[in-house]
Amino acid sequence: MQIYLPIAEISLNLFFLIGMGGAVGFLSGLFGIGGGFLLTPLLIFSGIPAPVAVASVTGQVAAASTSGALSYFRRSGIDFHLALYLSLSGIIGVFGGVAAFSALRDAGHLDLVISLGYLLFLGMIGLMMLLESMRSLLRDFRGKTTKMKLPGQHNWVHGLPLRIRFKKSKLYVSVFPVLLIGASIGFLGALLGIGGGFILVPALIYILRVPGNVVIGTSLVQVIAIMAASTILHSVDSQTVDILLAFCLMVGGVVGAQFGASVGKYLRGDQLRALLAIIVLSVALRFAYSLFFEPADLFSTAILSIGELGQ
Amino acid sequence: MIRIYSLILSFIISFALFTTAHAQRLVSGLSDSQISIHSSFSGDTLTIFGNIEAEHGAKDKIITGSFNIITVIKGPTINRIIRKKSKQFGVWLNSDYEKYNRFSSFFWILSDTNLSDIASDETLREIGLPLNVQPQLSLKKSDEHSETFNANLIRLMKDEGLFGVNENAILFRSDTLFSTQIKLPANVPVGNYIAQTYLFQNGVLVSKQAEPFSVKKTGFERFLGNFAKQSPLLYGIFAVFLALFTGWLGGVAFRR
Repeated sequence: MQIYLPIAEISLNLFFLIGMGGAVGFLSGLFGIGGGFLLTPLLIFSGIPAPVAVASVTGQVAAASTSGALSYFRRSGIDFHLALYLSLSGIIGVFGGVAAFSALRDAGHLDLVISLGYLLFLGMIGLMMLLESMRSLLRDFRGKTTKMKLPGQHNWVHGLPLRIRFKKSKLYVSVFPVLLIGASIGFLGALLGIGGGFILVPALIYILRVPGNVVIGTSLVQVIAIMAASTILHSVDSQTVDILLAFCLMVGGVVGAQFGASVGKYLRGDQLRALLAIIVLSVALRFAYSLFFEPADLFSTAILSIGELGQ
Repeated sequence: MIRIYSLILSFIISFALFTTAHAQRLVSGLSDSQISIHSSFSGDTLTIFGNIEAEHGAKDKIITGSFNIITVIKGPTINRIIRKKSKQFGVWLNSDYEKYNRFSSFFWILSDTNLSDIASDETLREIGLPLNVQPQLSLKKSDEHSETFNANLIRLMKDEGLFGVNENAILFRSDTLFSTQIKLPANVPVGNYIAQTYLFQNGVLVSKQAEPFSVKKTGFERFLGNFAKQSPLLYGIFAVFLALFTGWLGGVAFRR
């Protein structure tokens, strides 16, 4: 069954869209990620124009994160104080990201920056996760227990001025790293059409030392805030949010996430991270391919603005 | 004497040819004057039909001779850019471009036989045919750079099904009645179109007729498209509420 997407101005199969949302939703439930970094490239490869894909996925990620955050809220796994700081700085970052998005699109370099951005961040994070989970799996295999650096221990970041106490996260930390992390995620999220959870969570754990029981819930709240802001700003700035497309993805995503979450209970944390690392790295490789190998078609065309009727 | 006789004869013959060449007119019509884009739109087919008739007031009501028809369907014009990638600093990036103002977003040429058999290149050029003689293209400097970009732009538009030539699309149902169909793909641009039909006889343009039609979003699709353009802030806020509501509903329905 074909469905016409009024903003993307193409028609796609409805079940294909819901299925794609569902598959990505399954992974997002399994790994506790928004899934934007998988969905945006998938949509682009399905023929949806990159600006519409990036802008519409923000809506889908907001929905997926809401249902995720809800379950963390029930088991009180959210530090709202920290989330507020991250969200406000994140929204400022979003303004920058949307402005950069428009400027790059006009200059014709949006695809390049999206590819480079994905390659850089997915490659980095994927490699880090893979190494970390391998080390943990190996340790387990040898039956040794080594002392890990636990959250709660301080590093130089905590010593910066203007310190604030976040009770729930048991943190007493300078406000600067918090705001910087929030703003960077907001910028990248709006620019690349990703929630940024897979960058934010490691940043919160390794830089701020946020404890594990609140880190995902808190990051989900920030993801909701910056994705909501991105959706609104993309709507205003470029009118590229396709509600129908986003809605199809949301329905699939929300349902898929539930199944992912229940499967996730049967897998161990380090196994999950190793799996996620492999998925993240393969997406990064796909983008590396488009950057370093000669494209099938050197030429591409885009619409600048709608002119009047002429003969 | 024979010479004079043959001169008169040839004069009569050429006069007869001259009058028949201009005694016809074209009547044409479309199956739809509006193509509606609805929720399950996956392209549409438009039928263009016509008849060759005697001109008003012509003495000879009987149409004789062989005719050729060319129908040109053009869509709304849009400012377009075409970019070319090249390898720089080790990565493939857009490095060169050419801009086209008010470039047709849809351009199909239908005819009953090869264009080259219907009329001379010069005659075709006067009515802006074939695809590569569009005024927007020929305005460009005719150097190698813009010619490469022109050719590739047409190729890309053809790949999308928005440009094309079909030289046996027009069928004669009788000596004077013809019809043709144009397939509008699912990605057909929204806007005002014109179907221009040209009647040729012996390589000469005898008559022409234009039929306008439009491609419009209807119903919910139209509402959403207008909503997004006319009140983008409200649209964005609505999208966010929809997302939060769907997410919340999912979270409540599946309580994990």
